[in-house]
Amino acid sequence: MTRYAMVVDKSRCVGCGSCMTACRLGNRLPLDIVCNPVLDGGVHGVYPQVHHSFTPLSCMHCADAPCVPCCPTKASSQDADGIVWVDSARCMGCRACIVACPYGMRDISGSEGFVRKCDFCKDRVREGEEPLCVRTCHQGARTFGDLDDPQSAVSRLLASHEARRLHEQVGTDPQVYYLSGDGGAR
Amino acid sequence: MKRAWGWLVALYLFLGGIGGALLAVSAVLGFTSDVPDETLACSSAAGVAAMALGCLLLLFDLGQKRKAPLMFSSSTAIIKWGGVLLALSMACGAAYTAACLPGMPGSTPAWAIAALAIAGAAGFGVCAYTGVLLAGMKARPFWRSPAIPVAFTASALLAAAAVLLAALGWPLDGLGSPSSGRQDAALGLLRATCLAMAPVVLASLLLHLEAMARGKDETARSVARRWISGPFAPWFWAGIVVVGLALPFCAHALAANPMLLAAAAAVSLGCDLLLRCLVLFSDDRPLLPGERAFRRTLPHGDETFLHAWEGPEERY
Repeated sequence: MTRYAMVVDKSRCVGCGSCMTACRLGNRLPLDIVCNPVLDGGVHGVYPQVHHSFTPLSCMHCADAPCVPCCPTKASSQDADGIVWVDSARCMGCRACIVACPYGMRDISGSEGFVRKCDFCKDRVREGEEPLCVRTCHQGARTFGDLDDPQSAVSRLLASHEARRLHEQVGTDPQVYYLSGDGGAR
Repeated sequence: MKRAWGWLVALYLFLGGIGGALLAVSAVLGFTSDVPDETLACSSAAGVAAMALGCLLLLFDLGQKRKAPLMFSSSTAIIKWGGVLLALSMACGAAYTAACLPGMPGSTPAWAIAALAIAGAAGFGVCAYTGVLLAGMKARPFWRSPAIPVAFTASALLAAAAVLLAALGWPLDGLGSPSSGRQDAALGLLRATCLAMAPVVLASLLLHLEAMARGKDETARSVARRWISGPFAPWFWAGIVVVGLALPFCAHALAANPMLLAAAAAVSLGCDLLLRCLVLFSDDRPLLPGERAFRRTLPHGDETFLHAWEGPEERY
């Protein structure tokens, strides 16, 4: 069984935004849609121990995704490998899934009328490629793979580092893991 | 922050709620008192019309209107079940109204009475659904409470009962036929509904605000503060508590003046709409560090520029 996940090492991210650009171009997103924003957390610490933190985001592909059951047209669905995606041919643009998402990772473009979100570049992934944001990140901040494969890069990272997930208190079992600020080495 | 659901959805929730409540109250009146069928047909027609208008607004709000028929595909979506209840109550309410039209022969047929019962039950479901829809969103901490469907349902029933009380109590002709001793039971039932629902709405809102203000979730606490002492406070305390609930309660408790009852009905309707707007616009979710700043950088108001990139020619 395959269970896709992403591990983000915040200590490697420099906030260049190349992942956002790759996603935008590769998925031909409208200009008002960003599927994988990089948030600027600001500068922390006191000179010379200062650090500028960035948080690369994407859909968390929650195991218990609240955006899927609330979709009245079945446009939002989750595959067996955990990837949550939107069938634009079925989406009527009611925005229930946008309201249901705890992370704000879904949006609707005024020019298209249907909801867009990160789908881990599922067409590429099923051909053995990496998602565009992972492929593009020259810092190696994003790692993608199969959690059920103990030899995968994500499994090894999670086994050797401390990781946390965003908004865990909501209880959606997100599948994007963040290594802590220093890389989270155990 | 861009709001996913705006004014059109607030109006839809209001119209769906009031329409469903009108059908529910009409059905209860039909089975418990001696209100003329013409009167019930008028109130049912008003309920169906409100729901139909709400559906039109919702349709107008959709990004892809022609895909609206697909909304009945899912078995897990609350919106789908709301749509089913809406369709059922509108169809049965319209059937009952048609059976009671002037010129229809004989007494009301049994199927029309059954249609009224179904319309009433489904209408109550629509009333509750408008609140359940919001309370089911685990991403919005302020909505995650059974108090929201309770407040929405009670508020809609209050407004519907107040409207019917004003209509039936109107001295000129009432809705459909002159008032007489036959309608005393109906008037009493409607007045009792108004008097019972106002405290329910108030208590559910106050308990909800208390729970949210003292809860662990910082987002819910900040929204509760907005209601209690922030920008929503004048709307809540003056608009809902005093004008929307207390004054109509006094009017229903003390007076039988038709003008006062009509004013109370109008105020109750306004209160119901205001309640739904305030709740809908309390849709805050927990933000991540830097998220607000990032969202501000996204294009808003640049539609002309954005659309200039569209078209058959590849420019992007």
